[in-house]
Amino acid sequence: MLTLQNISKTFGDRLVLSDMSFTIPRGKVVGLIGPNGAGKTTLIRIMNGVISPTHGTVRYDDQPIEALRTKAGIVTESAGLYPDMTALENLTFYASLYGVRNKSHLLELLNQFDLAHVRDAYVHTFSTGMKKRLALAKAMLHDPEILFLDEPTNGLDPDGIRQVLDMIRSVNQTKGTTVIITSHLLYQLESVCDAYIFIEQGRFIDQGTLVDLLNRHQTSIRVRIRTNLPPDSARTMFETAVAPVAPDVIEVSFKDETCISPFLKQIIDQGYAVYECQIIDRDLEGVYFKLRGETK
Amino acid sequence: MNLPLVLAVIKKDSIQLFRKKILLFTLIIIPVLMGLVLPIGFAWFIIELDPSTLTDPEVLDLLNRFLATTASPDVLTLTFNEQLLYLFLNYPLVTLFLLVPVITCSVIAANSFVSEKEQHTLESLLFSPITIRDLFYGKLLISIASSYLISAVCFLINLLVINTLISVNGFSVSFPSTQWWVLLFLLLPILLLTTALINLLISTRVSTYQEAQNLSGIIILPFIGLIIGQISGLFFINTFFLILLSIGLLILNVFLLKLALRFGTRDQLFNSQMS
Repeated sequence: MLTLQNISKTFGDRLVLSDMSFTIPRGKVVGLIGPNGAGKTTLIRIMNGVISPTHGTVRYDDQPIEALRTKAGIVTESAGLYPDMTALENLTFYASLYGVRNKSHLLELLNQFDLAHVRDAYVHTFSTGMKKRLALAKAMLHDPEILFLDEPTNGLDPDGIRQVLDMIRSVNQTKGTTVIITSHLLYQLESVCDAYIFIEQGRFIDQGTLVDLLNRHQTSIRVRIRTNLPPDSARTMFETAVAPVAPDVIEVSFKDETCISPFLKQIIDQGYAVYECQIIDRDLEGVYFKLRGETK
Repeated sequence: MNLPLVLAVIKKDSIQLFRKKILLFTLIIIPVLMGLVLPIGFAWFIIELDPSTLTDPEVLDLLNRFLATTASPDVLTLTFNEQLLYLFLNYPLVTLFLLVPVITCSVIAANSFVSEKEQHTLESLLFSPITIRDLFYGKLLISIASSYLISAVCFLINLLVINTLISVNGFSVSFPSTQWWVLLFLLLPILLLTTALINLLISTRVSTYQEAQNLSGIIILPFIGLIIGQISGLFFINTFFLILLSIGLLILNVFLLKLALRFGTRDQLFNSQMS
């Protein structure tokens, strides 16, 4: 368990993080979310012990952060690889820093991340995707208990993104690795994370699973319905707020999920058809914008 | 000191020394020019010099008077060319030769931490279990060992070529003299430690290799002073001077090492490089 208590960080006169406290439970995949400049990277660097907080403490399983050093892996935004060294040389160097002496383990990792065929090629010849995959292999060298991934899918093509997300799910499920991940692409986080931590302008905003966050912050549900019911009729027929979006699409706001079925039944009972019905804004992106709106 | 981690840094940095073309070019061109071409060229020029072309008798007089006070009586019985060669091998060549380890060590050490920043690898290093002290030791040792090796190779080639020239021309000058051994086994390691420490301290405090190079250039200035001092006759390097200089630098190294080891936290190093 990683516990942050009253963390603040200043660089000169600039306050980057202010009085942050939260806990990351063991074995969870946690998304760290916030706009550019919110302090995500600084927070990751404090959590992994690269920089010290100005105030507050970070503890891993009730021990000082130094205890984390041999148990954690990191993928920084820039990958942290030596461009004039080969893939295998990079892994060999980092393996020696972590006391990993089993060379076959390095070759297995290269194989696992589809880099075995370029093991003797210089990293500067690699594509962004290959560098990210090698950075992940580097982070996994010592089977870490906790992984810090700072924008791990930046610059990747769809195949690369899927590979990285699959890897995150796999290590979390097979080895119980705790993963702390930042990304601007919220739909990516939604596919792998168990819980989320929202920060804004260096301040902790909220934390929880998607369901928790939705229950706390989504006071209404918006549903988009494709139907042959004319929008004007819909407005007069129902007390609920109805807004036309397209000639055959209306958007309706409900208090909660239980109101959807009766509404659809009413349309059908009036002799109209319902072709499609989709809840919108009830996802991570919806929570993000809701929270941002609340903090402004 | 965690030796396996220090050795890992040394191995990684030595691989990179051979891969960085600009660095490698400097590490080849400086020793070849200052450690081989100039010393061997000057020695050859002195051996081939026709004394009758020197019309100014004051030059010969000055040479005799200097050797009478600094060299053994045997040297006074040598020919003009032998005396001039003796003078060159024991005084200007010492300073010229010292520039090789100083410049190569400066280049390697100045590049050390800055290159980690420029390659965006510093964060991964600071995140790993290696302590800042072991990282520092690794970078210190690679800077000293590689520049000592380069200097030793230059010296051995000089030894071979100059002694061949001496032997072929039937000269009675012995090279190297005692002060060369003092230089190689006492002054040089101490001087390399001074150079590496100063440059590493610079490298931990600047953000670009260019900045580090500009600042490290200051270290070479005292050696330019030594060369000018010798040419102008202000002072001459002898064994006693080399021992005295070694002791002085050793004391300086103690202070530099204390200063360097005070720079001991990841936070400090990260902030100095990233902010």
